[in-house]
Amino acid sequence: MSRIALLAPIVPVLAAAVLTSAAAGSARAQAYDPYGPRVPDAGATPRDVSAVTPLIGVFDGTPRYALHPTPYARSDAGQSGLLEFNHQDYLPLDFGRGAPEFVTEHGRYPVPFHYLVKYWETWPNAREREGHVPMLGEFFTAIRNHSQVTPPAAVKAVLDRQAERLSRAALAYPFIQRSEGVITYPALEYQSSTDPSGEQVWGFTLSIVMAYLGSSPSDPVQLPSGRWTANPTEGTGISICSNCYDQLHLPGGRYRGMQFNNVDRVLVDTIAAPLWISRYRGGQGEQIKNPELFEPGRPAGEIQLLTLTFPFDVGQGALAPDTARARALAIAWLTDWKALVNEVNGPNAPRAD
Amino acid sequence: MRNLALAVSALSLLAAGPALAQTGPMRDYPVVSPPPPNAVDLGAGVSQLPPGVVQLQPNMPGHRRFRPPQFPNAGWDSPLLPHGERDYDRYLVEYWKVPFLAPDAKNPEADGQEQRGYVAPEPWIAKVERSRATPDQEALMERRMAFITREVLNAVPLRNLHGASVEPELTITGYGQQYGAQGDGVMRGKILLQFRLISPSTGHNQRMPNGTIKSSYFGPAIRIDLNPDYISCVAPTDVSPAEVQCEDGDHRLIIATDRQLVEARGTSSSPTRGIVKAGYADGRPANDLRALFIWHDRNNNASSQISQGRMHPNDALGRVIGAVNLIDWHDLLRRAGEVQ
Repeated sequence: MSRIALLAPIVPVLAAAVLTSAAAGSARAQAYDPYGPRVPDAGATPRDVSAVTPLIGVFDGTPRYALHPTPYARSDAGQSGLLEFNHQDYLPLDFGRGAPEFVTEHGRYPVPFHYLVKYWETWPNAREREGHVPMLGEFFTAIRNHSQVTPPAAVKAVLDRQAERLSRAALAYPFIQRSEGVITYPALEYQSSTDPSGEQVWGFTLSIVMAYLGSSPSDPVQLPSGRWTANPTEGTGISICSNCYDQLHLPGGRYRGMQFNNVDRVLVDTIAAPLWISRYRGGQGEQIKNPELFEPGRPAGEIQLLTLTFPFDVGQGALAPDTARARALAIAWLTDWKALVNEVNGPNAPRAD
Repeated sequence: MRNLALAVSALSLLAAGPALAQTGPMRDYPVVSPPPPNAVDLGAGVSQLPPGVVQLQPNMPGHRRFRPPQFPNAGWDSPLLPHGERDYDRYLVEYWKVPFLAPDAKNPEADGQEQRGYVAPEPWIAKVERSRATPDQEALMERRMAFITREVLNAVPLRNLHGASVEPELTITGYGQQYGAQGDGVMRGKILLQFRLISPSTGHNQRMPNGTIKSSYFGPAIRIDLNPDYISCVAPTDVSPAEVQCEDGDHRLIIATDRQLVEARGTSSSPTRGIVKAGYADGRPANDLRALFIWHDRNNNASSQISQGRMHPNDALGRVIGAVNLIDWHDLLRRAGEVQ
């Protein structure tokens, strides 16, 4: 009873407060409609790039950055001192939100390996990280032919010429010729590919093999040239497939002007017809490979489709640039494959895209 | 045992006769059927039953979670099927024969059930597989599938759809492959009526210009396969030479051909029925509708609501069960075959 009496003087105040809040509340209630349009998300907060690891200097063509002051950037990339690291997120500055984006049906995503491509574009003559003792493996330019099938002689000559040109371009980089920790050689296999409509074309698979010296069961041996040799069992590298229907991926975005399956493959084509069509005739459904992909009447062996597979996993920005995987990845994206395809196909062939 | 079951069924029908027929708002009805005499409430987590004992189910009086049904002859009072199981769906079918609840009735257990649901208007553009079928065959198949879809959506339980939205999906499979197998020359198609529940706190809800709600939350689906070359048929019941039901009518095959289209498969303990593909080799035009397979799904929570007789008939699954059981599929298949 006494409590009610005490409250009595503030009742008008309360009523006024209730009235004003009721007005605001009704405005809110009007604004909220569970079946109405959705309020868009505010989006992510911008990345703070005000503090990065400073560049100490460039030594013998190799940049040297200070290590991150905290223990949180202890990835291999962070320990290498070859990359500019961001203080806020302990990641390479050009990784994640610092990288250009590719567009997919689900949204826009940063290219995960951009920081490695940019590194080798900026420092093509770089050595390894400070304190590393280099072990340069053998480097071969002669193509090892592992083919199981033999194309007609005229086609074989065309394929050999194409593979030779692409191989020369891929092996031209100083950071590949250095062959640090790996034995580098090109390998070739011919194959014929048939699309579901029955059009048959000849092509090849050219691999730039980078076999790890360290994977050899026997110890590496140093040759008089100073290079090292071994019998490696594992390796990395890139695989370039010409006219391979099976290797054609589903549509993806673009990076550095080249078609990209958003994971591990570069695509160059000289085909006028759409590479992908809808599953259903009316345009509905997912995209499938065009069953009438290869164009009849093109010269035998001409590159209609070039797919290039590269080691894509950069471990969330942990892969350091002085690894063989990073160098292989850099070949895939620093080479202008469209210009090369145009060159080997000749001026009369359709232009590459 | 079966005689006993039939007697029990007759008894329960007598006990809940027309005097109890419900016409007003939903209320609880006492269960008059006794639970099995050897039923015991063992509690949760008991997997090994003592011999001669059955588990007391939540829809039987005396169970700790028992709630009385909200319709007469529902729940444990549902009529018995020939094989001894209770036909828990029956009350929903009986309700939809003579619906009396307001379509926009508020259901405190299902927010959004009172909302008008979006039904995608015609034309429903069919998805056409790249098959060997000709454009004429595909166009005729699309007209027949649209006819069936229209008739199903016009069934009483689905006509004034509340609480769920639906966008019919018509897929014309055709026959054979564009580059590859020739196929058997029999046009095939699938109709999917995927109901999406309207629930204000779940999924994406969008108010359409005509005031209906387009929703995304997964609900039950009616699937209709025309000229199926495969059926999923567990626990089959051969209703007639022209109809096979499986899983107590959740799946049913309607046959409109004199040739043998179905054969017994599986084992004696778990029989199934399968399609005899040679049954389609009758030389009739590709578009002739020889068979129609209708099936719908249900989820476990809904099943327990139905077995207690407490699922609201306006629930999307209640509507689906009503529609599938009330449509005369033989007549619909015949009329669809006459569409030119």
